[in-house]
Amino acid sequence: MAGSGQSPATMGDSPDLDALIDRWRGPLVGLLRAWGAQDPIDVAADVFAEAWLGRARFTGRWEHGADVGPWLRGIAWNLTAAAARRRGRPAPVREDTPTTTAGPAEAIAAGDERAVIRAAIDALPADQRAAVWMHYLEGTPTAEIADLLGVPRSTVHGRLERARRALAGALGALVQLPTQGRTR
Amino acid sequence: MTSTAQDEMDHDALRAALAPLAPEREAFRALVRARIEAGRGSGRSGAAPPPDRPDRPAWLRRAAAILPPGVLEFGVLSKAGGAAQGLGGASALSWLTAPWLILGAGLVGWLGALRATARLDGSEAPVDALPPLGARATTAARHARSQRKLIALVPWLVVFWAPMLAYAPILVALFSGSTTVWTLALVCFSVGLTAGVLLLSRAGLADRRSVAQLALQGLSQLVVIAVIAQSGLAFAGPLTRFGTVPLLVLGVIALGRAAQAPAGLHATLSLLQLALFGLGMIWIAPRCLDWDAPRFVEWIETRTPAIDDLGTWEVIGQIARELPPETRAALDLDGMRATLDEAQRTGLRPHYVVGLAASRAGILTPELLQVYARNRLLRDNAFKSPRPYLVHANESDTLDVLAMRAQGLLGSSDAHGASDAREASPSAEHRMRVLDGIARGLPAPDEFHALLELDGYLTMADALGDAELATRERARIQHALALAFEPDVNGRAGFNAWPQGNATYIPYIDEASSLAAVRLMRRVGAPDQVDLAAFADGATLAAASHGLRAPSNSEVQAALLRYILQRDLPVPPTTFAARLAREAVFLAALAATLLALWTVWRAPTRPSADEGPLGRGSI
Repeated sequence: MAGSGQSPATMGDSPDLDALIDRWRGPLVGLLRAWGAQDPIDVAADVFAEAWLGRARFTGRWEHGADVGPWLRGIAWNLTAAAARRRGRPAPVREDTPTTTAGPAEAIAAGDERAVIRAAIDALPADQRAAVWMHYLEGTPTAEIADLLGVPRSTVHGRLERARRALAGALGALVQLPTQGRTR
Repeated sequence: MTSTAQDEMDHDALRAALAPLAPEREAFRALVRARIEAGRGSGRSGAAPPPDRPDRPAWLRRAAAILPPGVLEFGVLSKAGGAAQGLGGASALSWLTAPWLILGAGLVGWLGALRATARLDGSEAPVDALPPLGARATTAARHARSQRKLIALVPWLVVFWAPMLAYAPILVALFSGSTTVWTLALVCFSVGLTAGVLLLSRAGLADRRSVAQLALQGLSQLVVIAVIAQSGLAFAGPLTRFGTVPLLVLGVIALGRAAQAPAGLHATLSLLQLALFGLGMIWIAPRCLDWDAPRFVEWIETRTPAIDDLGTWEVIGQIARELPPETRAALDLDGMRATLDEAQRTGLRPHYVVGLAASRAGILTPELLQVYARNRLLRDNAFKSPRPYLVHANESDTLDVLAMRAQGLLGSSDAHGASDAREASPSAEHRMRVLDGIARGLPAPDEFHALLELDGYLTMADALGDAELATRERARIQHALALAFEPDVNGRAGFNAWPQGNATYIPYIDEASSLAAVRLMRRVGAPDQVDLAAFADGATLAAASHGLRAPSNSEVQAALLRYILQRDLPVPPTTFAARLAREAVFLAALAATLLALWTVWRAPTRPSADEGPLGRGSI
């Protein structure tokens, strides 16, 4: 089954697997990273596999991101929480709960500019952190992010804007990093 | 992207920071596909397992390899699996026939017999070893009371109780065909005999002759029923199939001698019995139809079925589609060709079953094929109708498709891509519409005859050049196979036309569904829930023919099932334990015969209250 590249490709009542993956891979991996999943790529692969094998249970329309997004997010949440329980660790933090992650001090000490930014992102509030990871990991449009999170697009825009501002404020005092205006 | 304000983080910097952590597109796709494959194998998808095959812990699976099936089915597995089947019908029957329990009952009977004979031995104790006179008098009085009670009871016991123990299980076995029930019958006979002798001996009524006559009656019944029930023992091992009856006959002869019948009459009767049973064995003894391709070819080439003998035509078609193409092309089917020609000359259109069988055997002429082209698909849909085609997985639609394809109405089977085909020609569009109708018609896994329909649709899709339908529908097919598999219906595994979960489900083995299951499994593999070894054993059981007569159509169909199952699927080899289990009836018959002989040997030679089983002078 070749991926068509276009968004929601479907074959009858079943989705095109490659198109499904291409559409949701970036925001899903980003969301899992924001949740603190130990191996987000691995978990994301499991999410797609679960979704594909259990597609008979999906009652929405494959071409509607507002149907598919919450379904994938639900599978992702269950798998991540189950993995955390197996490891005896706390469950992942959802994007809409506050975070207590420490700042980027260790990354700054290591002198890695990208690592500094990532550490600063991880120090953001959970909802902003999720929006940043989901949007910038693969350049996913905000529409898909909104569908996956089950929030309006304007909310995603707002979270991204606040996140960029917070990052600029947090990092500006530490290192000289480029800053700019509003997102698309 | 422009920098219009210095109070926000730059997009490019954020992308540059996060993009290296993004998964590579193709590698990620491959990873997902690998997970999907693994999920299919492990049942990780969350798809519900069939209702009667709950996941079981490893220790239970190991225990199940050692313990007899009935015990675990009844006791532990039902609880561990969470299925509410513990005391339900099938499990309760399994419990009743659990070999361990039968062996336990046999052991109790054996110990009882030992105790009885020990008392017989005690009657011969020397006088100086006896207790004092007063104690002896008390014991004698107690024994006398007991003995009188037993004497009153014995007629009832002999009339009702002993036959119930000895014969009732045999009657059950007669209608069962199960080797397990047969084993139960034989051991129950032994226990009943021993218990009966024990009672008779205690009552002082039994001598060796009467005990031998009782055993003789029992074993004689067993011999008769063993001969009749041979049809149910084809699955059993060679000792059981060919050794049980001779063994029991020898036991009867030995008991007849012990019963002290007049020597001449006894010898005559014995020889007559042996001769009759020998003839019965030849006639009734099952033969496994272990046929290969040449044998099937021989069977087909010697058939000349009438035009309305649909059963034979159907089996011919089923065999023909399983033969190698070169073998099929070389078939000598002049007799069948003549039948078809005659039907055509008289203006008869043979039944669709006949037409499809002839097509599969390669003897359907183009002219006759076109007779079938004026059928439902063409007539109802008329190609111009915008309605979707409704394609059924039956002989008429299959022939319709074949005929339309031969007429060039369905395009080339080389045209695979949907968009290409639609653009190629109107006939290619019809082909796509028929394929679409096939996809719409695919049954749900729990539908009645789901396996037959899936096989039929795959056959039609193959004819239209869409060989990938099986791959695309692998999950559906495997689910249907899992639901239709019956691990044990009257001692045999196979596939049911009524899948589990269907509202009208009944436990049943359907030969046509079993054949379809093999064809489906060789395309998509066997799901974990299907026990191929048990399925192969079941096919062997069904592929048995009896007596000197020619095998029936259903027996040949079963032989074909066994043939393609062994040929096309990875059936595990039979283990030593399984071979031993197949000889359970013979071993039980041996135990029953030996126990009967031993009991007779240990019985007192004369019926006597004075020298009876309860001791000298006990009355």
